[in-house]
Amino acid sequence: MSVEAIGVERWLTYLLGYMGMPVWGDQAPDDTPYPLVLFAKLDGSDLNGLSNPAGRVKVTLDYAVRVYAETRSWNDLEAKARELDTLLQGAKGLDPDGKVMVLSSVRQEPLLDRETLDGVTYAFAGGVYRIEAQGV
Amino acid sequence: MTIHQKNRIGNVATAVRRTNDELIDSGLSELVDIIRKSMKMPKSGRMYGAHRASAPGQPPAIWTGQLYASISKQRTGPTSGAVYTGVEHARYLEYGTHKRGKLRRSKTGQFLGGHIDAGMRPRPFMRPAARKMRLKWKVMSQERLAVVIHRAARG
Repeated sequence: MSVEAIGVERWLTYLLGYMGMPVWGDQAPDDTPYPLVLFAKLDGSDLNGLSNPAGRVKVTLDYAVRVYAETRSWNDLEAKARELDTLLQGAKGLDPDGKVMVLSSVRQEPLLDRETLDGVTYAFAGGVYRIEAQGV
Repeated sequence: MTIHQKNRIGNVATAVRRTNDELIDSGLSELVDIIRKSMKMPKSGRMYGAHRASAPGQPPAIWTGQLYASISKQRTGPTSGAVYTGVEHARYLEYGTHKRGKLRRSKTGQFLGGHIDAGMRPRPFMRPAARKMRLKWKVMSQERLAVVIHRAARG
């Protein structure tokens, strides 16, 4: 699963780059300007075939993908969140290095919340996307 | 020759309703157990005094027991239920936070202010448990309902 996850994260970074803001996996450095996009892997599972030795058919990875802004209001994020969903919902394709094929990307649940960090409130919007991928 | 017809639809409906209730209740209890067991598993994160924290990607470690004890279940309808926690930092653990920020801890490593107010990478514990339970529950309920319907239909 780890090899495919690397490819998927490369694909996410490339695709989300179209939003024209910093894109980070897991955590952004403290000096990253806002708004920013963050993706974080939450869960993953392999689907293996029944052949001997078992071949891996595909991996399923759940990613929380969110746009953050230094604001309390989700209205300020609406356009960016919509853009994020347009990019990811139903997306498929090859990662930039051509090693992993993303078969599907579908939102499982929306995410909309606020985070308080060092006493400052940040709003975020996005979703948990289930991404199915296959090594090429 | 006389043919007697017996309408057992009522029997079947009652049996299905009762079994459905049992399945949902037992499924919710088992999901709570799975989550709690995942928190009890050995961790490989940083040490804070004598406490070994979870590494990113692992379910959270038990420190004060507040999160562990807060995992609760509730029926939300005739065919649904929910497992939840009311602890505020649970969402930070599940999804992670976007920046590290400054950790507000004392010199001995205790979190200050009673809750986590600093960045962390995700430690998912609810979603992976729900995924495991969903598959198990589906197989378990299909088998159980098939037997119950068969028995009720035969009287």
